[in-house]
Amino acid sequence: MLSKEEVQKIAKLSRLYLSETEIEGYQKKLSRVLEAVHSLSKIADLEKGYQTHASEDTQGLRQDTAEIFTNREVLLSNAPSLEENQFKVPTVVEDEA
Amino acid sequence: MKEIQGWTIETLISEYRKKTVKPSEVASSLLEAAQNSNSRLNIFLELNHDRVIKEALQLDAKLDQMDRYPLFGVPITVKDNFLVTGYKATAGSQILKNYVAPFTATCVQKLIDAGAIILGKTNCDEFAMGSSNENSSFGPVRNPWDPARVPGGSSGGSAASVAGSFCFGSLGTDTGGSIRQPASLCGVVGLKPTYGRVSRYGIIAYASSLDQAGPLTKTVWDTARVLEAMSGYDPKDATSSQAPVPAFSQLLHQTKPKPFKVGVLEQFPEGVHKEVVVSYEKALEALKTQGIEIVKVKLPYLEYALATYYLIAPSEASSNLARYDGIHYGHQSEETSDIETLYSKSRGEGFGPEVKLRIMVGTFALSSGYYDAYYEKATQVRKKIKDDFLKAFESVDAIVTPTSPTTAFKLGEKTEDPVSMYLSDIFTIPVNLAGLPGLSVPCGKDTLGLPIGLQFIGRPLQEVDLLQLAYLYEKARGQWALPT
Repeated sequence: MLSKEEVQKIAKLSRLYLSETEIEGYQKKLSRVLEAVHSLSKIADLEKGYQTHASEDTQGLRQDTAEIFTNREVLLSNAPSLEENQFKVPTVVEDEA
Repeated sequence: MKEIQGWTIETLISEYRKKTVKPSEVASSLLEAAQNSNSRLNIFLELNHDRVIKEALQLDAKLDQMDRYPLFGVPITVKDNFLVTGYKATAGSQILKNYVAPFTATCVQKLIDAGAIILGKTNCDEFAMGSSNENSSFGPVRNPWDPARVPGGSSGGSAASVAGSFCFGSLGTDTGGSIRQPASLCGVVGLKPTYGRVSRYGIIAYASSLDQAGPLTKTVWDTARVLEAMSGYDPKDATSSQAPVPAFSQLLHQTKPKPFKVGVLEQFPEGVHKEVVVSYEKALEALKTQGIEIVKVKLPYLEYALATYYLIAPSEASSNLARYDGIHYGHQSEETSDIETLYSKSRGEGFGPEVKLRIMVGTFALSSGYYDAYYEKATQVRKKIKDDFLKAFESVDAIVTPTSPTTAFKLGEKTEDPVSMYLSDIFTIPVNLAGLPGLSVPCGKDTLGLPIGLQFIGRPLQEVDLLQLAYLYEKARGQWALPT
């Protein structure tokens, strides 16, 4: 079973805050899933490297032209926190002064 | 009014043609039934009565031009992970509970252009991750056949909205079986098209290389009619196919089907209920009476499909769901002391338990030191699974299996062990991995009276074969009554 620290590390990489109780629960559930997917390790005769699945038919490309989305207000209306029509975030870089 | 609910799309169209009923009357009667059902079944997340009636009244005025619209006045429900301008699109998640769609998904717009009435948004497992609808942040959907049981998932609300006769069709999405498995558990027809057949633009992403939208309806003909309206190339989705879309519903009526040869698996995985097997074998006999030849096929890598899926889908999900940062849209935590805390708290509070689990599985599988052994390996096995199918299709036109190993199970029965829930999709998952079309059609009931589904799997872009096979089967099976 995964240790608490291992779960905490994966949660941190996932940008997920977990409570103590959640961490304990995921020690079990995460281990259970990783154990289940481990069966692939016994397959030997595979082609090396990343294998793409897509068919040639589904690779249509179009001109990369910019289009202006005119309904800016609608997009911004979904933002949880705005200031002067801009997304508001906590301070990332402190003033040097 | 009960009478209208019992109709199919085919009947509805012929009633409109006879002018016995108007779109606003149909919409109003279904809306009332839907609203009344919601405290009992929890199928609908949003029903906008005024908007629906307004749109239906506009169609009333066009009754004389109905032949220009293949889905004229057909009320259709839409899973809550499709964007429809002005409606909320929560994908069953707290993190999007107040998110209002700024535009409409291409495939939904195509239905609207074809004359359909979007009746409302249906409940689903959070971000389409689940097989029972118990992962919705807005409470589970209950199965109209037995409200103590699940409708399947993740398009459980969509399947239940059709089974409960609150609409004539519904749009679902299917990443590992999320259209076909609930169709099976709710006794309706459900089709996952070939990957690329339907545009994914405007659908909230779960696992982009597997996600595909498709219809759920009462009959095979109805599915054909909705599929032809929603399919087709979309420049806004680079993975959508440029192949022409056949007139599926006309082909069912007009063309004499070819002499089909259908493959069956040599053996089933463990855990398939006996009553499902009995019903499946009876269905094979019925297919034989329609002149369909049945042969055995080998798919040696099939046993690894579940493990492959539970690496690839979570990996893609961990990347797709990185966009929920608590800043641009969606839930934002009160704790905004610094940016890292804002991210992790917003996501920790906004996502439900199964979504967090899959994000973490994916993050693990993609992380340095594990990528080769997990994610990359899964892409290699996926290729083998696809090759297995393509090899089988050299000698058969389609493969037939049960859709789900069980009938509808009770709420809470499989929530403790994630892997026991995952097994519910054992027959459907390989189809997504290989990008093939799959269709589920009701084929019988167990001793409790719960529906069982039969799955047809076809060659890429050969939905027409599946529809014709299922149409033949439907005729051999005979009438299928939904719960009243």
